[in-house]
Amino acid sequence: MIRYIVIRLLQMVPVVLGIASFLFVLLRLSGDPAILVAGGQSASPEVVERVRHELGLDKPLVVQYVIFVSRLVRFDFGESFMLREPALSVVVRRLPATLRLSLTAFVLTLVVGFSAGVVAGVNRGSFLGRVLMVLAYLGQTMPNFWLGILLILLFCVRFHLFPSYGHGELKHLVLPAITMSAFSMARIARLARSGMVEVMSQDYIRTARAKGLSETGVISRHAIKNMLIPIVTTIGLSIGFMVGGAVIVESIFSYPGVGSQLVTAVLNRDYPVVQATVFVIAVAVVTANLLVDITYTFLDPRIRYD
Amino acid sequence: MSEKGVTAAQEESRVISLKLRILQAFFADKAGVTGLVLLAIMLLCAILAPQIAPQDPLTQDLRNRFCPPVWAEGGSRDHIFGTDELGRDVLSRTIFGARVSLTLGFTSATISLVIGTAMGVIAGYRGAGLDSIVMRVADIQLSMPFYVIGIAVVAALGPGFRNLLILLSLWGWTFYGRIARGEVLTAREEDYIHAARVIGAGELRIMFRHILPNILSPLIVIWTLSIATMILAESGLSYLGLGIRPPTPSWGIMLSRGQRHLATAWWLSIFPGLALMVTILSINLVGDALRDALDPHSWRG
Repeated sequence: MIRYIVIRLLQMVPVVLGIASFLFVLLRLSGDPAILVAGGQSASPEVVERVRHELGLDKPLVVQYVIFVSRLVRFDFGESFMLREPALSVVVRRLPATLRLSLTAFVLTLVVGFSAGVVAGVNRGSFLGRVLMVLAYLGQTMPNFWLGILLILLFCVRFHLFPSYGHGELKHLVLPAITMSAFSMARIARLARSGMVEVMSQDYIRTARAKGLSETGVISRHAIKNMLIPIVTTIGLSIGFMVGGAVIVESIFSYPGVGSQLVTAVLNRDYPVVQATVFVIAVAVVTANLLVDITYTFLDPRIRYD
Repeated sequence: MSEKGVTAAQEESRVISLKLRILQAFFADKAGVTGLVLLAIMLLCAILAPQIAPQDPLTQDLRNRFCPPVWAEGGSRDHIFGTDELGRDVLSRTIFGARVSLTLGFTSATISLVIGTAMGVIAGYRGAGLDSIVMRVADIQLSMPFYVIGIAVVAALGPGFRNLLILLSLWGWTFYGRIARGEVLTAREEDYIHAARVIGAGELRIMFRHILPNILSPLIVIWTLSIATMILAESGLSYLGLGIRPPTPSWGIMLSRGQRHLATAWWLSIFPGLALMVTILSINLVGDALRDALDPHSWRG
């Protein structure tokens, strides 16, 4: 068990290294950083040369790479071009907002999606079940920014129920969280339904019923536990997806989180912030996946990657 | 008499080819056929855009901005879906938007199919070190959210059709790589492969002449569904202002520009959004029906 965790932690190292290398390559591809820092095309060649030396860009590529990676793991991304403060603190400042949104979306996915799927699976063929599954299908096919705009049109423009931008209160979270979780919610619902249907036809369910256990008891004590594994896998995959979705959703609702900051930084060519944001998000996703994998081993003792 | 005999004999020996069977199964699925029809409409719009569109999508008419659709007050027959903030015809821009999205979607899906299948087949056939490296890279790439990586790449390379094509093609290979490799691992041990080796067929020939045709089915389904994913990715990036460069119409750009005027000029966003949704929906319907049609277990009768 501990061995498994340690192995997985060690496996994170090449992944983080890979991400760092990827960022390094990207930075080189985006043009000469010295020109950018020096102030653009109008900067005089002497200034550019000086900046180049300051940034260490005149050293051999390999040396630059080593310096880059060593700075990265100390979370030193340099200074933001726009805000003249360390890039990392710019990112970290917006992190809580995104976490709040992501967590809300995550909870929504689990609670609403899972229950809807279970209900639909238990009441197979019923009207409610079919309605839920049609909604789930739509939820999976609808582009999430389209859903966001529709929600704004309906709940902000037509009926002034929720604000379409801003943050700080619960009401600001509602629409963005729904938009962010729609796809995953729908997917979990469909999975939960098919899982329930499959489990409910098993022999041990019949036995439990024959022994006199109530329907609710059957569901909660026997059925649900045994269909959790594919659900947990999908939840694990959803995390990365939702984080990516955060970028779009935060832009739609002008939500001041890490995602919208990434977009702004790119549009402003603020490369240190872009690097810092990508790195932070990537590490977060990798860590979340690791946690999900560890949860996996608790759920099914048969799964051990030795 | 001979006529009857011939007919009877023909009936006995009538064998429905596999391809025909698959087609039968596909067209029996009503949802799939609906999707196909819708998709065909979208494709026609994309291909025949210059002929179908009533106006030029780029012509601005600043005296006629925010003209509502024809059925609303103030609408005109010249602009059935109204005009946008620069007086451009929304219907024409929506039709031309199909062109950009569908072209990018199909092309990037096909390129990534080729790359992904090649990588998967080679990795699966060779096995050992190459296999684990390729799968490791695929795992890392798959676990990263697209928009984060995509935005970083756009930051480095700049927006535009060509860069989007490169980004999407290089991102999408992982969909096929894992599946292709898995299929190859099983197919590799089949008898006909052993036989081919024995008679001296070279590695490349075995991989692409013998194994590949037999693993195509799931890959085609993935290809179909990934077109929708690519279109969504392009629209998302364009929405953020990091995709197709204006003034070329793209549904994503239209959605984002239109969002500012949702309260006053809802038609700016609704029509491109509907077009996008119908396209995605139809591709998914076709893809799902195709998946069921290719799976003999789900054939009826």
